[in-house]
Amino acid sequence: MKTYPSTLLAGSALAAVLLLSPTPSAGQSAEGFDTSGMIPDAPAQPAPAPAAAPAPVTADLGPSRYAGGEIPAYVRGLSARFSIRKRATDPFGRYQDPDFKAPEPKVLAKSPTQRFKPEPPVAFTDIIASISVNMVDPEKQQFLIAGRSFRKANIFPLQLPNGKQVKVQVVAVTTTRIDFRNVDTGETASLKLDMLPAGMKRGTGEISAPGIQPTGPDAPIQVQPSSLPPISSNG
Amino acid sequence: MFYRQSIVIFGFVLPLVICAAVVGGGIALKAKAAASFQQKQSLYKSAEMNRIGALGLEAQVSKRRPHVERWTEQMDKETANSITSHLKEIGDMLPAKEFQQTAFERPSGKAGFANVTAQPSSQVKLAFRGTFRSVQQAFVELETRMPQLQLQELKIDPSTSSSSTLNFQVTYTAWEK
Repeated sequence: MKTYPSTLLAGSALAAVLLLSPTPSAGQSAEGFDTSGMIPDAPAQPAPAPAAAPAPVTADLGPSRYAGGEIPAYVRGLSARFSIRKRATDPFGRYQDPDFKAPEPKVLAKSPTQRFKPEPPVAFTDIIASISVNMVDPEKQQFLIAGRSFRKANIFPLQLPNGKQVKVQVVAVTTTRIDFRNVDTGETASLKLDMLPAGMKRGTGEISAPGIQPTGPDAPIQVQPSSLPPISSNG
Repeated sequence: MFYRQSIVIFGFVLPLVICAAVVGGGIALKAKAAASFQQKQSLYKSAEMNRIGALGLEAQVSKRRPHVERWTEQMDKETANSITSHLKEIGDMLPAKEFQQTAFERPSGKAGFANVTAQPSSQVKLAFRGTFRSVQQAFVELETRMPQLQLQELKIDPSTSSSSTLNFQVTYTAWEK
């Protein structure tokens, strides 16, 4: 009679134990924990600070404020990336070599037509010929140019249109010509005074009335061939 | 037929009742233990995360301690003197033809971010004439040596006197103590 209950009790207890432990008995120990999601890959070695170590040139250098005592290395690494090192000119097109000299512009062959030609020198005779004399007084060896009086041995300057000045000296004054000398070069030139108004002709030298002969014993007898027109308009 | 009732009670009913009580108690205990386990596990996880985070922060702080010391040392120096001495050293390293300092001013007042912050600061205006490569190198040197400089304005224009140099005009805000 005692065997039944004890058998039943033992069976019940076994069933209860089995019910109580559906999971393995090791479930309470730390080994059973799934900690794979909790531990980061490298918790003890946090990500290395970018600039803490002497970084190689190609690595990310990070902000310069973390360069620390490695400033020269940091600057070297950073400046190695500058594109200006591989370029001849900067963004403004300026050459980086301070001694660079731009190639000389192509010099064109000397063209025969020069823009500024030196003015050909004016001949002294032409200069003198262009003086306009108003009056000549051969006895006093003087003459007038626009109201100014000049006499023999006087030196006065002539101004040319190109600004040059020529100093001339009066050498001689006669009724027919005035001789000038260029003081600087010694050239001489004469201003001929035989200019007559249109229609006028130079006379034979002396004024004579038709039909009247000079009275001097050696004076030539004046004749007037018919081919020559008479000096006087009366004849 | 004797003891029939007793046999039924003690042989069947009582063991069943005991078994049911034991099973019920077991289930309740298990549920309680599981909840407690979950709670402890989550607490452990968060504590572990915090510990790791603290380790990271500590490592970061300890790593930056020398930087902080250097920055503090920099801030203790007088800005103008510091810039002048650094520029002199930098100028000695670069070709004289390619780097010349042409002006050094200290404009009064504040500009930019300095206007809206309580951190003391001053402005420094520098002008250089040089080639792009040398002045760029000089800027890197200066700004690396003096992290308290903050770029405010930078103007570059080609120099009319030389075919290779540029004129640089830069304004920094220098943070001070």
